Amino acid sequence: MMMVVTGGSGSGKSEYAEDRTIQYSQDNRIYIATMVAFDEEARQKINRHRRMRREKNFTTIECYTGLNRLRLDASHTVLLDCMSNLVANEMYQEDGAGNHTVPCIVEGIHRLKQQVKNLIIVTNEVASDGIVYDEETMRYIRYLGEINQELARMADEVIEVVYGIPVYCKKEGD
Amino acid sequence: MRLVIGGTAQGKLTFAKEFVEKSYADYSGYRENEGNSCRIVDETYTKLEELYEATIINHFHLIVRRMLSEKVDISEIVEQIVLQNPQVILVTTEIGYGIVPIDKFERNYREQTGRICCTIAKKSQEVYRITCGIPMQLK
Repeated sequence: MMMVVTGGSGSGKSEYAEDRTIQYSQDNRIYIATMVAFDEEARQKINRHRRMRREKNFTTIECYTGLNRLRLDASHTVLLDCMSNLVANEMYQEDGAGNHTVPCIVEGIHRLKQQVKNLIIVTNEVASDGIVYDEETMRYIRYLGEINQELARMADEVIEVVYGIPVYCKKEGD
Repeated sequence: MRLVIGGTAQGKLTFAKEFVEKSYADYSGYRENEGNSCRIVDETYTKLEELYEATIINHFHLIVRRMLSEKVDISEIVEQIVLQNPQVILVTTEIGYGIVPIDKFERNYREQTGRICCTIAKKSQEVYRITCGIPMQLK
């Protein structure tokens, strides 16, 4: 089973995705953390998410780039949070995929989906503020959009979380 | 409490006003002591008490913005709104659908507005999202 959870900033999408992950599996819960702790604010954000996961029985794997190197198995239920960080990492980190970010991440997700029992991916809606940014930022928006489309095609369920309320974009059997 | 959300200029306030009018028509005598006036309060309020007496609170995101810059405890205010004004319709623009702002205040404003609206959505009996004037009931 593969599920994509999307939404805006502060929409409650991470909490929703964690709750759904717990429903899917009693044990062998893997959390793929993607956020690089580059400053105090990032550290605080990471800590907030860690608090939310505490006692929810997750094993955390840090993966900033190179998703296709991960090796998991069919007993695992995996929560990846979140795609918007992973895309930025691949584009801008030294060991990232750069111009090949989209095919690299899509391939990584394909592999992960084949390996594990359940895959829940949190992504982000970043493309609707209407601001014309610099070329690099526009490229980021385009890459994340292309990846989100591909994820939605692969997924059994796609859910937009709106202030904690799930809105189904794609349901199993659609 | 009811929550009305959506993008800018989608007809959120119009929907809220129509909702109030319909409520008056459905329940004759509803708020009759107050002369059935629809009191709309937005970020230009002069006293916090106005929020506790409003029929519609409009531009809630800008109220959050003002409170953040005035360093007012927003969660306390929201609690008071729920307690003192459970009939209110709260109208807010969805502002979390873009690139994370570089400016710290803008970033915090966007994040906090989202978190507060999650709380309000939980406490609301109904949540509507308006797109091109068309309401979609989410809750």
